Amino acid sequence: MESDSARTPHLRAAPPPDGRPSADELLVLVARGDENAFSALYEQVASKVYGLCVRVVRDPAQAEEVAQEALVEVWRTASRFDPARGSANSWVLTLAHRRAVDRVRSAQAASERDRRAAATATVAPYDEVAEEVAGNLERQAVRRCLGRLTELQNEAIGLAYYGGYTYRQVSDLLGIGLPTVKTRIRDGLIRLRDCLEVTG
Amino acid sequence: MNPMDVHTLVGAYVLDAVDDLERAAVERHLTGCAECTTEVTELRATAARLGGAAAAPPPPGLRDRVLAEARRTRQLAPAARIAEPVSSPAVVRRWKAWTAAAVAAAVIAVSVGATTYVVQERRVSTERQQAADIRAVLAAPDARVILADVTGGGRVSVIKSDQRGEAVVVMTDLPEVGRDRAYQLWTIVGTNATASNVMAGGERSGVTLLKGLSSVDALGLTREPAGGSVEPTKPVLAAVPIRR
Repeated sequence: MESDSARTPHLRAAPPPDGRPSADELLVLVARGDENAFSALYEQVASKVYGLCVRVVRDPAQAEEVAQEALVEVWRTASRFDPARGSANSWVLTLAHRRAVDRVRSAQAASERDRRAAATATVAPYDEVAEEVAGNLERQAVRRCLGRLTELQNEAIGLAYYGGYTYRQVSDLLGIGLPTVKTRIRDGLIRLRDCLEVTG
Repeated sequence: MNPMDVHTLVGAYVLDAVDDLERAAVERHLTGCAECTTEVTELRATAARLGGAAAAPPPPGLRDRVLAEARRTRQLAPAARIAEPVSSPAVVRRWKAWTAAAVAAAVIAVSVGATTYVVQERRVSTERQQAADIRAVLAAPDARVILADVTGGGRVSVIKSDQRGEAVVVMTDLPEVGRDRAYQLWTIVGTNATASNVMAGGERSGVTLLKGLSSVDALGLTREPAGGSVEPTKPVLAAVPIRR
């Protein structure tokens, strides 16, 4: 109730509204070997894991392999998930990103030019199917917040996260010094963090 | 690498844009720096939002392959304490730790889901402070879990740090109530109950942080008119002793 809000400063409503267990709850069950929970968790995270792998790895067949490895890794190491250190969603995507980056760094054959072209920190243009999966609002929010970064922050974060480059490589690619790259990445992420929290 | 250098690497670290040596240096640094750990947690969540924004429909066969491979993959045991003798205190400790993790998962789940509402109310900084306070209680070295069933259904889970005199209270699946009724917590000292936090009318699950509990013996839960009462309405649906 609206009028109650002043009297209830410390209480929040509990999700999820549709009664489905959250990814965090599911991951705790997965750690106990619950295959049904893993299947439900798959439904919640697979599109994000796969989409991120495609973005970083580029080649769809390889991306699919990496996504599969990452998702099985979620199953295997679920007991290491520590809810005090972030959400299940964040934990899963951290793991998937690490896998994807390992793949592109070991794939010497990958064309540098392709990677660089693909790595700008923009959110992919409107795509009906993908949009349905990702949730329109989330995509818009991220796009809007990326737009509020400086060009250098945006480029450095894009090359590092979506391109899978180390900050040293980012420094070479952009022709700016290492200390600047380090600070731009950190400042940019902090700005992104603040922006995303505000705009949800 | 000096601590200053390591600290500026935090951004590159969460984007996996460091080499193995740098990663190890940052991780060593994190073990001794609570503030940095919080920063890493938050920036990781930010990076995950970038990842989530790239979502795309997975190929149709992926689900079956992942589930099949999981079925034949052995899971890691919880962070190993295999060297420890299996005496009863060890078992108790492990059980407590596990329960704390499960309850913490519920806390995080509730907090994350609530973000939307909070954001709409533009109380972001308060919320973030509160999330940090909740994390601090969960991470307190003396945090312990006290569980109580609620008359009529549902459960109250209290994670209390005696050192901090604070507790995180998680209420789940309480009995249905109309929007004109609300669940309210009470702090009980001896036989005196003092009004504490009230949930929104009709809400059946929630999480809250209580402070200043050093001399409080127990927490009580009652059903009250929406908005809460000054005196508890009987019956008390749950009484949770929290004093060690």
